[in-house]
Amino acid sequence: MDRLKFIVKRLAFMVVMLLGVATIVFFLTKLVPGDPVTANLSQRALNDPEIVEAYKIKYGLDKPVFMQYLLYIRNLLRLDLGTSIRTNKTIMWELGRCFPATAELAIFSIILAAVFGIFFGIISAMKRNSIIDQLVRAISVCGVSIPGFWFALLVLFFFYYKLQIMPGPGRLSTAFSSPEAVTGFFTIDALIEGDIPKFLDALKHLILPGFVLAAFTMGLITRTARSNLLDVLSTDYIRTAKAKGTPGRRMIMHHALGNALIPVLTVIGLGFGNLLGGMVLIETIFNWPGVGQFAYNSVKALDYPGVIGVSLLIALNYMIINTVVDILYGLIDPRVRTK
Amino acid sequence: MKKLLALLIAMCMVASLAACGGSGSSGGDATEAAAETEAAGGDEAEAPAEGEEAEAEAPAEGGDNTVVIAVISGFSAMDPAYVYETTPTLMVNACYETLYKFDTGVDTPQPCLVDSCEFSEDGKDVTMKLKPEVKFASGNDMTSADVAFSLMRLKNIKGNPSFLMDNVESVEVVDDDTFIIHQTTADSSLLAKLTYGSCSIVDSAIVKENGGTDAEDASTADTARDYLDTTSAGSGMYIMTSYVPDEEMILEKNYNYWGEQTNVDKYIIRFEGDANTQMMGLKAGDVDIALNLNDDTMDELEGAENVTTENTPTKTISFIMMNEDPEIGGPVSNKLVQQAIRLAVDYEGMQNVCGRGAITPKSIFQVGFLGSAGELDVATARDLDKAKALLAEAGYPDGFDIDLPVSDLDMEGIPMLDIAQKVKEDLSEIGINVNIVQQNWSGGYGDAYRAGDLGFSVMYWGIDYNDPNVQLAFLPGESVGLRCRWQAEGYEPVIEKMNEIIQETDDTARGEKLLEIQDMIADDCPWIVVAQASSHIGYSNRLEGVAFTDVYRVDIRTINVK
Amino acid sequence: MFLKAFLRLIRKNYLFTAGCLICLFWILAAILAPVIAPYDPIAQDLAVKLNPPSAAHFFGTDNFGRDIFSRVIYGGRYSLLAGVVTVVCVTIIGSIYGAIAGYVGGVVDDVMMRLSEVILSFPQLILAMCINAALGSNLFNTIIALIVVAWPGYARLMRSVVISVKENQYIEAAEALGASKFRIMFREIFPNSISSVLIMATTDLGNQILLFSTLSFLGLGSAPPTPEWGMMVSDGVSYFNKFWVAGFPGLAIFTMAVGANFIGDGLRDILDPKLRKQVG
Repeated sequence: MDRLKFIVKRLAFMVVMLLGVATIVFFLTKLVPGDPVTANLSQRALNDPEIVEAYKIKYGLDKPVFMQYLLYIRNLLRLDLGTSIRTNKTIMWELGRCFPATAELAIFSIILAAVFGIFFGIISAMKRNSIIDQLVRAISVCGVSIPGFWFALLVLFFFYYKLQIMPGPGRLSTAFSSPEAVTGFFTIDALIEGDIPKFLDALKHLILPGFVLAAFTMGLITRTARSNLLDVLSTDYIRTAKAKGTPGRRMIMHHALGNALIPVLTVIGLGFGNLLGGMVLIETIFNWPGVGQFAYNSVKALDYPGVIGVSLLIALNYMIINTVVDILYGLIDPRVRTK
Repeated sequence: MKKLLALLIAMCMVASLAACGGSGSSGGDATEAAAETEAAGGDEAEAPAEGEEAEAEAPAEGGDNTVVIAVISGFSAMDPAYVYETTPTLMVNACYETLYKFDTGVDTPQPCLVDSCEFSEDGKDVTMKLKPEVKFASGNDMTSADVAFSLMRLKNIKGNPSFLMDNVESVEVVDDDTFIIHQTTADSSLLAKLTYGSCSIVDSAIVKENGGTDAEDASTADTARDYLDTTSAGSGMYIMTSYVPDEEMILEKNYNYWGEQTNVDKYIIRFEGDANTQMMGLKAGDVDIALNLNDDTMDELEGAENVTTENTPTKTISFIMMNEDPEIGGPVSNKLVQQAIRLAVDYEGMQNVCGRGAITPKSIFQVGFLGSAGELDVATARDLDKAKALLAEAGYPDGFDIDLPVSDLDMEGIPMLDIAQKVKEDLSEIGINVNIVQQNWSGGYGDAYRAGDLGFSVMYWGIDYNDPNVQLAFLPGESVGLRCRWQAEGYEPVIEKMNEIIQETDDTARGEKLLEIQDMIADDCPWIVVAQASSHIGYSNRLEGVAFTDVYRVDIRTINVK
Repeated sequence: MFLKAFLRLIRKNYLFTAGCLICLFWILAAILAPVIAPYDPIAQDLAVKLNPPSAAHFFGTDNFGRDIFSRVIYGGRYSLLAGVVTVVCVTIIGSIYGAIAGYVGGVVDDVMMRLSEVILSFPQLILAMCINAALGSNLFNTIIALIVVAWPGYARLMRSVVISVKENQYIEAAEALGASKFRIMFREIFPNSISSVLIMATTDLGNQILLFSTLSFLGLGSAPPTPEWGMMVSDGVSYFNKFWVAGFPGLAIFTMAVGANFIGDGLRDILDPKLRKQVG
């Protein structure tokens, strides 16, 4: 019962916060001294007041800002995100087009980050204060310190340009045509089509951006896994197990890992939420037709329906993941629930 | 037990993330998903089906007659009545036809859909006859009604390119093949305007079916753009079968084409953001034509045997603008200061910044146009001593500080910021301290530029249609001239000459008058043209007939596979 | 005592030591830039444009023939300035905001925290880009954008610490003695809570430097030819095969962030009470 109440409360909050996000973006884009008309009409057309007027009417820009806001929120409550001023397509359509590309990359990279992060964390905790530990810690700090845009250029330079062992930007080589959209994930769709070369090609295209994107989260996961493992290892029952003579590795796998992984889950969850926000750069550099690229183009064109749509999508995603993490947390750790 | 639980949770976690992804992808919630499938049903129903068909014909590995073009995206419309950016002219030229077209290497418009053309005595009314054999891709015959519909739709839709029809009052349909274009005044650039992609003749039956109208209220009543942004309805050699913004576009051969065709069956146009990606694609053979290379990537392709690269001058110019209004321009509104700055710019270095093939025209009329005054002698154009003397004469012996607002735009890949940095460097040598201020085009710069509120700036200008008359906008009192607050007062002879040029239908006479008008404004001009950009393209040697043209980027109608 | 702990850290924790050395290096470079840099960082020389690293130009030259080494040395100034200013401002704003929310509690707390959550759930970069678009891009506005994006994290931390401090008996005692709320807050609660926020600030410095260079990379910083690292990397995007154009400025950002994070990591190790018992 309590849990149900908790979830309902969370959902209500979510709606309020999403409205907050929409409001902030709306007024931010309106604060800009220019307006979308300038961004989207040509130099010639801007000289013709008739054209400017017609354009404003078409996108509702002729009304006072506050009216525009009310209209926007009304449509938003009806789940209508409006039409992009830049591309003239509905925002729903655009997000539907972009999201699978982003989700595929994000999931691939979070898996990479989790696997490597936990692995490094365990090694580091087991060999605490050894050279290996220091090395792993150095790697994890590098992971959170490397500027993503530079790392992206670096891997492209070496693996694509110099060594030519990795494909360049984009989701698929030109030689292949996009698989028919079922899930929107090129790897899975290619498998559904039964086209193994296409699957491998799509997978290869994921590797470079996936790694670049994973670096930051991996650093965080390593750090959390290490410190939590150390925490757990110093608790009484592990000491008891140690005293009883349980061998080190077995002990870690058997007793410590389970407990230590719980906070790591939170980091993975939050990392995934942040990943979507970090897509802007990576997608722009890797020419990945996803949400980040769409966001970048929308901000540049002051296409406020586009910017709000993307922000809402990312915020929603962030909140859902937070809630899921909280709920899972409550399930496994009764203390959280009672609080 | 604990370990098992933790593992289970870890797996749930991954699964839930995947589910989040999935649910997000089909929209955050059910309604969104519904909306999306609807959209897919509406817009894409045909595209995937045709996509399959295409795959069956031309294997995925790329049949010999599939050509891949890489080009920077960043345009919004494919509906001819809205098209105005440079990139889509490439595609519009392939899918649609206009009454006149430019052929590569020919400076005057050549008839395309038109059999004959006759101007009335006063030059205002133009009677044209269509070629009888022209058919649309749909199989419909093209008639005068289609012409009238297309041109009036363009006029009434009040979109970006509608200004092309400003001087056209109406199009009168005489019979199926004959029509008369009625203009407000005679216009020597009419035919050149008609070559522009926006003046494409669309299949009126199909466009009307999909919500198109050419009525006065077309700006709000016309709903055909959604349709025309995803497929084409013209008489060109190709049909657009799929277009995903920022990703790719597919053009397939129009088997109903009325004229002679090339041997390319299919074009895949990939929107690839930068020169490096295009260069690597070209090198690897994944891309056949790359339209946005730069000096650096061209050097890289130097040794490649399978690739040809070319620099061709475009008609896009970048310029320094100095506001004539002392309130806004401050020191640069002073004619002596303007001349000093003109003498202080290092044009040779500017060409270096703008890349190989860039040239500097003597005035605001580009080299290559009728009546151009030719290239500036960059070796002698810079004279710092004289510039300093002029500054001193103007009352600024020690120079001055000035803001230079710059937008985030670029000209053929050359950022305006680069040109601004060069200007800053050059002017520092005569004591003018330039302070660059970055502004987004959409974040205020554009508005200020249009309103003539910028005191001192660098900008660029791409031609709207391929005719020197397009440059008349820079003259005092005209739309671009006013962006420097260059008022018409005191320039009556110039205005008079300009009107003569607009109505002069004899090209030899027009060329002479254009030269005269350049002389008239030579010393007064608040514009300094710093460079005329060049294009950087590369293409695979398995193709022939690839050449850059300003109007269509490359003219797909002449490209064949060897 | 602090000095002793510091010296012990230097001896025991190599990474911390390395971090200190790196940061010291960059601070010195920033201060002594006019002495170290062989060229004027904004002087153009098109005759040597895009030259590879050589004895004359250690890090090569960029597309205007400017010396990249000199530009990198000068560039440290902007990154350090932006990082430090942001962190200081954010610490002040965040801790005051969080302290008020935590101390007052109730509806005020709820509203204040929801507001901070809205900002937190925002994609950072997009928010910063919007702010920059609205204000215009220059160094000052970029720092403002960084502050707007970063303060909620501090506020939330401060709030939770304040709540736990509030429950301590000596606060209750002060309240019973009739001390004013204002006095309690600034005399008792604030000093007892601020240390955790200060730890966060140290560890966050690296992040802010990174975010600043990211914004600068996107063209949202000072106008060129200012030698900002992020912007220099973005210059290199067009000259992808000339690795030195983007390579060295990027390396500079990376090392500075690594240095700051090494220090943060080391400090957390000694200051974080949970970990302290293991280290000690």
